[in-house]
Amino acid sequence: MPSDASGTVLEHTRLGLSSPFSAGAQRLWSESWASLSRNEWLRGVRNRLKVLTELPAGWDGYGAPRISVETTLFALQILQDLWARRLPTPDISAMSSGGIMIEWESHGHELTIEIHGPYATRFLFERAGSDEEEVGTAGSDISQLQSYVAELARPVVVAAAA
Amino acid sequence: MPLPSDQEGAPDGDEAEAGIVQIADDDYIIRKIPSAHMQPADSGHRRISKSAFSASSASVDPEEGMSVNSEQLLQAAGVDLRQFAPEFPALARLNVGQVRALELTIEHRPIKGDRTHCQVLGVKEKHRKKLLRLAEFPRKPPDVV
Repeated sequence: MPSDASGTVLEHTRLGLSSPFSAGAQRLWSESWASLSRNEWLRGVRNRLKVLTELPAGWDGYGAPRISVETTLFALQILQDLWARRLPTPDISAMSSGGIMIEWESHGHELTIEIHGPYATRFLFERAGSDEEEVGTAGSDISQLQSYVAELARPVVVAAAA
Repeated sequence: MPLPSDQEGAPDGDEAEAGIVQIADDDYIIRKIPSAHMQPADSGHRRISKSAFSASSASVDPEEGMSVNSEQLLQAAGVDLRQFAPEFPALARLNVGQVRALELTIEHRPIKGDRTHCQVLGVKEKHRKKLLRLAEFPRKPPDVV
């Protein structure tokens, strides 16, 4: 929860006023807010992953294996590395293969990451307004995924009223 | 008539191969949807994720197909769809011809305890959303939109 001080900063920002706090204090507040936000985001992600690890073998009715600890930890690592401010919490679900699907939809873009095991990642990116799908794989290099995430997490630009 | 078993397993050799039928375009396939495929959505509702349409692992199925059941074969076995797989909160129903139009293959692959079992072969990540859009849900919880 924002403290009184952070609320003051927010109010000054909303009103377009200069902050009553020093630049250093503002940066410290901003960083702590971002850190808290990241922690909350990751807490939600971890809770969802934990639910998936508790699925028994055959959970899908077709003999799906349990989701392995290795796959789960790799998914968590990917998510930690991809986190960005304003990135929505993803939908996370199990796959019959024993993999984990991670989905985002933001600004009309859709990013789907399928993690089939450590360093065994496939992705599908659907850009807003385009019928083309970008499909690929990612091992230890997730720079392509990070570029997609940057598009998902970009700030909303609101045009000023005339 | 008892329900076909939900037992999983590899095709049952010669016994299973006998009696393999062609799955017609006007047939429908049924896929069980566990709650693990349901995601929170707006206004306290849930939605079914496209992860519901994913193939089995090679360790379970060397063909890496997506397991389904033929509605026609279920009906022939005297199974009422409303009573099929009651432990699953939702069922997806897809027209075979529409699935084949996505360049996917559907084959009858009876397994031990389930002679209505079929495989959808060739399912990749680009197909999942299309399958989700094609699907109708003859059974789903009231909070799933």
